[in-house]
Amino acid sequence: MKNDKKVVLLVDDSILLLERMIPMLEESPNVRFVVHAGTYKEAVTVIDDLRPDLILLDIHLPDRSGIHLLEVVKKNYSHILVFMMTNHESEQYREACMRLGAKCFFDKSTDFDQIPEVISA
Amino acid sequence: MPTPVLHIAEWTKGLERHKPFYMAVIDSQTRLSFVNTHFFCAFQQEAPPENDKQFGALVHKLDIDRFDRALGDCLTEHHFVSMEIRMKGHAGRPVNWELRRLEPDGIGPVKFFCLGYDAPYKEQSAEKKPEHSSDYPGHRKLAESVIRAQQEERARIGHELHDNVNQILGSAQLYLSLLDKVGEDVGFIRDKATELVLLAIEEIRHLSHEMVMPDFRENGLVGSIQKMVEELRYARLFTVNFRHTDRLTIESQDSCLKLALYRIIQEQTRNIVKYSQAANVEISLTCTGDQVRLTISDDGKGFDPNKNRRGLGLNGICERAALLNGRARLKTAVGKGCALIVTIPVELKMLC
Repeated sequence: MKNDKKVVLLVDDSILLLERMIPMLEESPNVRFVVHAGTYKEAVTVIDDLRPDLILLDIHLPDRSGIHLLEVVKKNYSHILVFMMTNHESEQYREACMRLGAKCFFDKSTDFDQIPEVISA
Repeated sequence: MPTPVLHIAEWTKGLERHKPFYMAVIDSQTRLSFVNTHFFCAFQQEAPPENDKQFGALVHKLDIDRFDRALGDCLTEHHFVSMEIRMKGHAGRPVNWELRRLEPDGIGPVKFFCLGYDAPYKEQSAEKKPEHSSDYPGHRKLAESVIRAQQEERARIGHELHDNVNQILGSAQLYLSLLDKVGEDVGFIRDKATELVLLAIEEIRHLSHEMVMPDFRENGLVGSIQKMVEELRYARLFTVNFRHTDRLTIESQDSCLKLALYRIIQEQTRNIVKYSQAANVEISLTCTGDQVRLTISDDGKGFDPNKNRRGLGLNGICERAALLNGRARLKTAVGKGCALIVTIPVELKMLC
């Protein structure tokens, strides 16, 4: 039987977000395995080796922009779904990310609870 | 549905000095559902795919029982357990793990949050020695050997300091004393004194580099030998080849065994540089199930082992091997090069 559960890569440098996200993802029936990367560099290492099904990606990373990572992922692994997250939603960012191939765009402060639901969809 | 509360920020407080630290969430069957990148890269990346999703399968076989017991403890009695265990594919380095049971309020399977960091490198320590070590046959003789080896090493350092560094600094002082005389070329004196001081710095750097304990946590024994070989190659005195087998088994040995092997190679290559006039040097390190075998051979001028054996640092080599119940043999003759063969039984690492 094909395993439809997803391998998720969470890219965000905030420990507080991690504390909230882990329990939510743990309970999501569609998630098999979650890997956390705190920086752009860590994320690249994991993507190359793990080939996740889905990436939850913060726009602001300590070492490089998440938008750049989105571009790299979509160029090399177009099948990977990328959900962008930010604390500073602006239409410009949203448009740029959607244009580059992001599947969704979340405002961490308002849309947080929707994340597991969207992953499960 | 109630969810377990994580306090990762609080749990990782003070761990900054231990970077990287490893995080994972496992269930009671040790199945992994969450890891951070450091965990993934250190333990999962190289693991066989059938094993890489289970924490238990990543633990070194010698520590698996202890880990299972700790997990059982964490499940039934304590919410928090900490222990030091070795992981596979981590060059035998022990990791300090803290296990925390996550409370799902009776709903859903029990999960554990695992937080780990590399244990500090431990040198041969007194506590690890057998309680009645004086009862061991030949213990006194071995203790004397250690003291003698230390004295010889101190004497060698003393000679190096006296013969090289002291002379260089003495010359620098002579140049500087010329500054008191009228009519001397100040620029020339400054340049010569600077040159000599730099030379002294370089000599001390070289000497201290030899004395400092190699950090096997960073490069492992094989990596440290490779670095040493690189330095020898850089000097272009001879070609050096280093071969080894089964890095994992080598790196999983006790640090005292690895240190002994490292020092033996250091001592023997020093001999080769000083005396052999060799063109080619071969270093081979193999680890079978029950013994480690180190061979260092050169095609230099060799010597008569009956005449020259003592005083070439060979005593130290033999004693280092004997301390681990091993053996060092020398095959050499005038004009025939030299081969040093050291064999150390692996199980006797417990002596340390």
